[in-house]
Amino acid sequence: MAKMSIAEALRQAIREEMVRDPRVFCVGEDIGVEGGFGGAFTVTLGLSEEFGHERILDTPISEIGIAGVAIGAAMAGLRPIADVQYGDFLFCMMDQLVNQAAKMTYMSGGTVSVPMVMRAPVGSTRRGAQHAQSLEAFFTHVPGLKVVAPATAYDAKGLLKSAVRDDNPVLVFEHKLLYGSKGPRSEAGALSPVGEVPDEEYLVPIGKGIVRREGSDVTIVGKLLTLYRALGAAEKLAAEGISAEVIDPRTLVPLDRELILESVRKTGRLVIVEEDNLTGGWAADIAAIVAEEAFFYLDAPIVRVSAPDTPAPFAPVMEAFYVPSEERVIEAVRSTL
Amino acid sequence: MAHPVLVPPLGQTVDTVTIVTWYKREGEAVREGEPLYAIETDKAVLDIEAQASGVLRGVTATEGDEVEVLRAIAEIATAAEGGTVGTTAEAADGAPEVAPSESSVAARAVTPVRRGPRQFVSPRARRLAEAEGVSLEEVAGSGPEGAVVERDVRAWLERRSSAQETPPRELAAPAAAVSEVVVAQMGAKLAGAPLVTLDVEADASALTGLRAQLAAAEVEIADTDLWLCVLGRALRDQPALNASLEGDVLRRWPRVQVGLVVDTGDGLAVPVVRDVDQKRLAQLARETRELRARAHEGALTAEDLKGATFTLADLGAAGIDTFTPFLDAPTTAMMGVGRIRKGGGAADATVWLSLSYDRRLVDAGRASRFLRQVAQLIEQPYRLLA
Amino acid sequence: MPQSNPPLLELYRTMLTIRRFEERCNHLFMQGRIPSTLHLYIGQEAVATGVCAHLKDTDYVLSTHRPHGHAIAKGVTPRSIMAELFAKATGCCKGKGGSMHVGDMRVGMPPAIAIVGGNAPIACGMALAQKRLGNGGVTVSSFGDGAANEGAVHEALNMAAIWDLPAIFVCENNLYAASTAFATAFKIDDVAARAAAYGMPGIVVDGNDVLAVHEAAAAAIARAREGGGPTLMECKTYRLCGHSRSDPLTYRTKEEEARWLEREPIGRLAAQMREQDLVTEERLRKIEEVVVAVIDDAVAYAEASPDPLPSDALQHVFYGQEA
Repeated sequence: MAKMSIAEALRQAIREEMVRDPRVFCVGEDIGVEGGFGGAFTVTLGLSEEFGHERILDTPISEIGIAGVAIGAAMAGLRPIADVQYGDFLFCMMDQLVNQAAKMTYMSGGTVSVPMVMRAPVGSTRRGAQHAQSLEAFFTHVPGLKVVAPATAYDAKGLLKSAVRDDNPVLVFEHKLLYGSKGPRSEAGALSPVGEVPDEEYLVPIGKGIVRREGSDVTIVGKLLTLYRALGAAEKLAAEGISAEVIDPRTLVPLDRELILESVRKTGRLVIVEEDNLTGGWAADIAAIVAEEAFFYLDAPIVRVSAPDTPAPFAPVMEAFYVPSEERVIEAVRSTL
Repeated sequence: MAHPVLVPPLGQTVDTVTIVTWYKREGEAVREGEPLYAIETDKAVLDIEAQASGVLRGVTATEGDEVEVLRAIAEIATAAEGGTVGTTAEAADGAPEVAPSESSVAARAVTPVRRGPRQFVSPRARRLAEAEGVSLEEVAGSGPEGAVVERDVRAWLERRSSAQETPPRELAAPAAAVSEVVVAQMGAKLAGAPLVTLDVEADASALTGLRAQLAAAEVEIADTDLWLCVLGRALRDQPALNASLEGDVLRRWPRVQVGLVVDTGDGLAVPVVRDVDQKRLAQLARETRELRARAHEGALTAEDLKGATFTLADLGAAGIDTFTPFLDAPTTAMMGVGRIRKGGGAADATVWLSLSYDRRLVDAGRASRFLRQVAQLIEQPYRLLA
Repeated sequence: MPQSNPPLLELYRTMLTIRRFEERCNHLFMQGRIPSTLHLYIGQEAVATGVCAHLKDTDYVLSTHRPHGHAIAKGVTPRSIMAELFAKATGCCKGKGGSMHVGDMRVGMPPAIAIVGGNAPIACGMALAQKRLGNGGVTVSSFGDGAANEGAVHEALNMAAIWDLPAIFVCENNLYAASTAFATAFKIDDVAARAAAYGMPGIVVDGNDVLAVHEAAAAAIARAREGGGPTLMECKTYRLCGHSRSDPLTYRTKEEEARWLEREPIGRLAAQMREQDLVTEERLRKIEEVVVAVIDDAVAYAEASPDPLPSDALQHVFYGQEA
């Protein structure tokens, strides 16, 4: 066992997969430059020294190109791990991800596979609206894409490895405030969760969520940063005698529905927390699933705690208003009791 | 379970009666004791009260039809069949009377009877209530937006089960008697005691009008509750009648606790309604229903039966005009009330009141004055406010 | 290595197969027997034929919304293409793709990509893999004049150049992007002129001369195979039919169409072969017969094939998933 940050866990995963399988390579901007950052959040730091610049392939600023290269390389026998510097740039490559990668297997009648990974950092960090979005919902909506969102070092390593070995396009969303990046790339306000990671080989299966905290009065579902908001809220609620069960879905597509449904059947109450705009978001989908499949177990209306329907603001006081806080989660839980 | 609506054999000389008016329509919710339909016999036009609570359906006779007595002309579908909830529906204390929980699809009224603000019930609570046979009307809500939630149903269930084990809330008998007269030297035993019965026919039109007005204001009460209310007042004003014999001691009591004669289906029982003079009609209505229900279930406790200071038998629902109450209870006096009858005389509606009393323990003057006041309160219910 | 002896009859037969296939599709569509619109390749046969003549099954061709010609030239069977157009379970995409997505990975043609320009970056990826794996394969990205203005194409051309990818970008300039004339979308006269801006060779070819295409493609493909990097090959050609089946062609003049009809590739090759006494009328007629028989067989096969089940729609969202 070793304690490490999420950035370190991701780096380990990439390294191990590249050692294990020569077809694996990384492609993205600023990921292999000598003396460089190792990617925007240090995840690929040091890898180009070990694997060279063909396997840690730096690109021009061409998001469409990055995606297309990953897709084509995957179709032709390699296993690329592509990344965007900021999740917001995924929008620059939407056609490639949504029209090409997601649909290639289907349109070919199941004969063509696209075993690629696309990593994307998300979350608001005082950089302004275009470098702040949590946009998983755009992709959970696309049939043909798998989507994971690891919030711990253990899950980051295990899920990235599983993603590399999956024969389908997998989007890996990472939160900027959870990396634990050090030095000049460290983030103000970061949580930097450090977790234990086994030395021996392990995988976290795509499609399985986990109960982070057991409880009986209310189910709180959160992802990435908001998972920690949920856990913080649960701790405070416990002092009031309210027992909250906190669920981390870990994979968004395919969703571990049964885990959530089982929990709601037990507690009768559901609060979903997301760092994403409220309307048409991910929480809305979870709420609909539970309302359809566990309606008669509900003791209170389902509550979503989301960012308001605005672009992400810059000023720290506004950002604190925008990103769901522990207090808002606590308030939401209380409203269900 | 469906309760058949049988035409009562009320004609003196004929085997058929005519249906004059239906007060309820097919699919409407019905409460036990409220007028269901009116018939015309050879003698008079009479209101017939519903013998059960539920949803009226299967109506086979319409206004103007001549029907044989004892024929079933409809049925009342009770809770188990998806009608509105059973006979012991109670509103939450202090809250306005709430609507009956919604009928199942099969019994849904074409024009639903809205009885009050809608009661919110969470799906989880509803499921639990159904599984445990809990009537949701009896459960107060503490959840979001005042909804009944799981914990409310669980609390109700706990109260129900503990109520069956432990003594109920109130004292079985008042603490101290006002006065005691030892009648040991009389050697009187109650059974076989000399009884006098006084009868009076009171004009009940004001009271029926009052009842109708209350119904329009969504306060559903039965005749019994009206008698209790009136008795409460009269007994408070004339405490000589508010007394009971304990062994050889006649005790007069400060609190008014009326034993209500109830047909359990398996004999009579006389559970006690406490502090009748202190309670509003709605509360009396709730309590009498609850007592009746428990009586039917055989769930009355010993405490329920103790401490009566007066006894009331209301045989109006059984369709009896008048009867002589016999004292089989420790109270010194007992009132029997018949049914409210329509027409036949100067008044629109009349009712027979009979007061039986042990003449060794109550003098005729007091008894007459008492009965006179009861009749007056019935005829001029506004006096209850004075 | 440029071939000095192009296989003329083979080229002729391939072009004729494409032509008769497309004509038949048009016919079937008019009779209501094909449930979707079609983007026909009539008039452009020389490009697909000349380029694909050099390709193996391990080389890739990425096509566009107008893919029938590339599919036939690359070796996708007329049966499986026709069955796909008829929306049958035996189609090359099992009825999941339709006209704009025909392809067969077994002969190196992924489902065609109907987002114009979208296949260019993917071609870079495929070529990158071929280079990394050292299997000597090349990837052809085909797109039209309209697509050449897509951002995706610019990104792809740049990436192919900086990494010296074994990719050939074939721009089939048929003078119209749907109804938009070339001259209104370009300040320059030749798409190939842009190649210099990326640092790769750009060549302009008479796209209606299959031998010219064949020769130019040979050079570009050889260069790519030998590690010489990508080429942008612009083939000037003309669509002798509407953009799709619902195109009234009111944006072109009859004179222009007539001019291009005279230069259409199949007749041109036939004329050349006759001129040089390389073929007899009898032989040409025989080829025609064989080609028509192949098309007839494809139609019969398609008609006799079963429909997919409605619930087949749920299959193959993910690889290896059978619903």
